[in-house]
Amino acid sequence: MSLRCESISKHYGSVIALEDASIEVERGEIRALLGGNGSGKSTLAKVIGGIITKNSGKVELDGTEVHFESPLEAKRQGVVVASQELSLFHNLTVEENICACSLPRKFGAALDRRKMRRMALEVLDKLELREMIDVPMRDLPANQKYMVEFAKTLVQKPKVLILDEITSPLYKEDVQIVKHVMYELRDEGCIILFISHWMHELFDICDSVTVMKNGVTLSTYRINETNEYQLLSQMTGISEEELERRNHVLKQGVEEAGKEHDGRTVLLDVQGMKLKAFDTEVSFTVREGDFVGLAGLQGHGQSDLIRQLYGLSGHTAYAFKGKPFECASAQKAVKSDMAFLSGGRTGEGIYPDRSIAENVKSVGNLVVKKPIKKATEVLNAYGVKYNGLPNLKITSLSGGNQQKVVVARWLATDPKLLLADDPTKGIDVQARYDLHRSFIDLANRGSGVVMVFSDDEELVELCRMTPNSRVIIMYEGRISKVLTGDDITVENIIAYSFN
Amino acid sequence: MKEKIKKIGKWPSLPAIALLAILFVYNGVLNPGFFKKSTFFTFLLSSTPMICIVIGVCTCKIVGGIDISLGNLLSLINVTMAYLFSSSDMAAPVIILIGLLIGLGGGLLNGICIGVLRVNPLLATFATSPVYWGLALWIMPTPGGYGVPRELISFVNKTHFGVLPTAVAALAILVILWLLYMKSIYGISIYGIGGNEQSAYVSGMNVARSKVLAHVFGGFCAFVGGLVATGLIASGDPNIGTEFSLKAVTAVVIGGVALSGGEGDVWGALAGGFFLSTILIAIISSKVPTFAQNFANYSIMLCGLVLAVVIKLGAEYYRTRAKKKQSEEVRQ
Repeated sequence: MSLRCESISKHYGSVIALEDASIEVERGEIRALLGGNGSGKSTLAKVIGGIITKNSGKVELDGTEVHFESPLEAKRQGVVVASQELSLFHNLTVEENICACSLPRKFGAALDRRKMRRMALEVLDKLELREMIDVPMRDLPANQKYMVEFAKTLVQKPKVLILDEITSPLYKEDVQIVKHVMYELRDEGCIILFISHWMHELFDICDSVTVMKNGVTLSTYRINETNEYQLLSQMTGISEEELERRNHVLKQGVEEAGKEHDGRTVLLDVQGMKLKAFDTEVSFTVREGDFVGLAGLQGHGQSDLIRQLYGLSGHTAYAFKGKPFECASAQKAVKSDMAFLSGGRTGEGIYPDRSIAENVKSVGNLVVKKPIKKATEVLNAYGVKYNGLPNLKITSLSGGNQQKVVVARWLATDPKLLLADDPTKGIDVQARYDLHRSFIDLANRGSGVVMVFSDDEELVELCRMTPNSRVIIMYEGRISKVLTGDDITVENIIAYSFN
Repeated sequence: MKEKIKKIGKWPSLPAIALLAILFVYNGVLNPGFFKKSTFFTFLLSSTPMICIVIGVCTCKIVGGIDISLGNLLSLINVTMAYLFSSSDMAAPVIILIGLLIGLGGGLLNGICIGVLRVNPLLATFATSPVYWGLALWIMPTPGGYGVPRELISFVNKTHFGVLPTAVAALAILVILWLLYMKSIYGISIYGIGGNEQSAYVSGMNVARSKVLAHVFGGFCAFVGGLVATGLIASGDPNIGTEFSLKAVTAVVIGGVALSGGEGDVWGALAGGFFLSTILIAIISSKVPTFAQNFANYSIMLCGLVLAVVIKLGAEYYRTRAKKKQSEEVRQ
């Protein structure tokens, strides 16, 4: 068995997820795919597993070209994906989940419960999780769900196994168990593609590594012929020596940066606040006029931090505007002059069935009681293109303009602190630029701005345009590095994101 | 043993069964005649057509959809058979076969709209429902068709071995079919799709096929209900099933089948269905004035619904609390 991918591309409209990916893996090899956010690793994994279809390129198994139109077809050829998005059923038991893809039958179509139990026990024994066989999936803690996702692939006797970041949430002991099972599979001739952000895991587990950047596969190394700095250098474009030097700087302490503040008052003071999603502690301060970007690999706590500050994860305590502040709900946060922008526009931004004017008035008139008299004035001030028809449904606007309306709605209430979770997700360049201006103006007016961006380049650009900017890089729910001034570069962000 | 009790306590159908039991006791106390064999069997028989629809709706709901067209499909089957019995000289088995084909065909149409064309299930069946009703009205604008053969009437009203009325046997057949299906490898797919359709697709399950099958089974339930109804009223009535559709949805929700799918079973649905049909009897035996009967009937239905939802929320709350406790223990 061998797997060969040649010049695979995948576009979503004008967004290029995968531009030119080629890899070749031989039987009995564990290959790592490494790259920053949005480098196309997961997309490549999904294309190979038949979960999404490619736009062009070739996938070959054992020299014959295959076209997988669905995951089912891929599974028939032994290609199985376990993904971070999980393919589990919360309403079934662990046993049923594990066997869901390969239910044993008897008398034609009857379910062979006894065999199913045997199959499930066999893999659960391997993973040392025998006792949880009858537990309903919804009662399982998050990290064990990933073990079940892994178990589910094992039952299918894969020939090509793709593990897309399922080890990230696992405890260390569990990762070791997964590693041993992977070695067993490898010895049986299975091909394994392993995606992980954890550099040390790659070096611990894999035989070889392919580096990806912006949807292109750059180069492949044997794992014992490369090192961390070489790989990072490939991903960032910074020389290895420079990376090594910076790493020493990093070790010298985290909170050194961000000392210059020319006497501006502290707006937000977070000291040793417990980040609920990770059970870690974070500390940082935001002064009036500060622009703080939160960066790091996806899922290392940036969004969780923003949301927790805004009261979306239940009771939280920190200091705000010089006073201890206990935030238990979004309502309280809004009433205390905070604003929250989300990239999930339809879910957490607009009211899709209401008019543009109503949307822009919603916060001012309904929550904080600073009524907006003329919606059109606000809309004009924030450059919303609404063709002079503020009473049309907001969904008649383009995505970028919808988000502008949401921004206008918040900024018109003059918030002291703007929290934003990827506010420019899926928005065209021009609208993005207009939004940036609004954010910068807000900071210049003396409010604090804390934002998460999934696009590092965008973050860097914004930081360059604001005087008091900082980038906080998070890793495993902790603040691992703070960048200021000229240190704020895309290369630095990526380099420190991998710790 | 303790495990078993715990498991029963978590059974989503339990509240509905308890509700039904309470209503039965209430009825029995107020109206001792209720449990007399003949009265009770009449009650069972008259409830059967609606309960057939309940079983069909329950299946469609578990797979994550809904079907509100089955009541009218039942009407269509009923009037077609009554019409053919009265004004054609086809043999009775042929007519029954035609009824079966209409049931399966109607279910298939629903299934294709929902499973293959991916129309929202509520909208799809909201649209097919008046189509079936309109057809029924076209065939028979007013109740009629009194040529239903005596054999069918007496067969439906017959009691086998002194304990098993035909109509109830029909329900039993549906339940057995349901159980067989859910215990097969396809049953897991049905629950899986109801729980998380994306996961089901990624897991390589045939989502479209399972949905179509669920709706075809719904159509079959409508056929069984239609056959029993034809024997019961010995004629055709284009409006007979109209109110069954939404009542069945209510019954299924009371029966603990999750609105979002993936949870619940036929036992809860049965209990919910019988709960609804017992309410009216309870109201009549409580001597509620005629004009207030509808009000009382639907108020109790509302209470049943609210109770079912509250119980579900309560269970959810305890579940998350237990989970939290557990993970805290692990941490320590």
